[in-house]
Amino acid sequence: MSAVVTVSERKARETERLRKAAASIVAELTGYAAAHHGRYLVFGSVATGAIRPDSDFDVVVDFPEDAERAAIAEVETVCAKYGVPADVHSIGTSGPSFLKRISGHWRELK
Amino acid sequence: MSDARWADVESDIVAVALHFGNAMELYSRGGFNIENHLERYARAYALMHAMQSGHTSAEAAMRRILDILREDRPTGEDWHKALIARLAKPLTGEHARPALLPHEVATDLYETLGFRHRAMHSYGDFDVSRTTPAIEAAARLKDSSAAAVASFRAAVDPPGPRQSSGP
Repeated sequence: MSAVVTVSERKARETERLRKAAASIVAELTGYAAAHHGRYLVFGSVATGAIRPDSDFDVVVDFPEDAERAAIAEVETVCAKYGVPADVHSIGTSGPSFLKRISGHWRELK
Repeated sequence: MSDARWADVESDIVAVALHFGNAMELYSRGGFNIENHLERYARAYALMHAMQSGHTSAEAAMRRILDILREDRPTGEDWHKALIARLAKPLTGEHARPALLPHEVATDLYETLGFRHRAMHSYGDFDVSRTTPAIEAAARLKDSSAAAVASFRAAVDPPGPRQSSGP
């Protein structure tokens, strides 16, 4: 290792950590969605693969009403476990313009 | 292109020079013992405020630099002092970097930090005769802080193929 870890190297290292963490989060949430009859719609940099050092985990939760609160809590728990900030939206409270903007760019986990 | 946040650091350093430079001028102008109470008050508090603003601007720069480095900021009641101590030490291993603050710059920052603490807790008993060491430190920091940041930036975020562009 060099005597100085540059800012670029620090960013690259954090990006790689986030990439691995996001993959683990996706795997865990896919299992959760399948078991609870819902789906997660991942969008943003995790969905497009353009992860940056400041990326968070953007996701829309689409679950039956009685399971939604637990599904949101699951995202927050799993993201916290892997040290990734979560930005969680409920499909029921998301506006149509927002959903239209991200549609086609999301990754469905179910 | 290097990290865009260096522009914010540079703005903080410009503010350091502005406030400490003005503090030096206010100190030179004097008038801290004149008869007119309100004028005496205005001169003393202008000096105190300029000195406090200078140190606060230096702190802002140091905190931004920790953010750029992705190092956690010091926490706890003594974080102001710990911030200087942290950046006066080089780190090795996974977070290897040189010290941002040469010994003499860190010593001057401890002096202006001490001034700020005394000014904030003087409750009207500000004694300008005790400010000389802090004023002298501020006079040095007016230039040395910019030099320290420039040298550090060149080491940790050098130009060329290793540069970084995003946050």
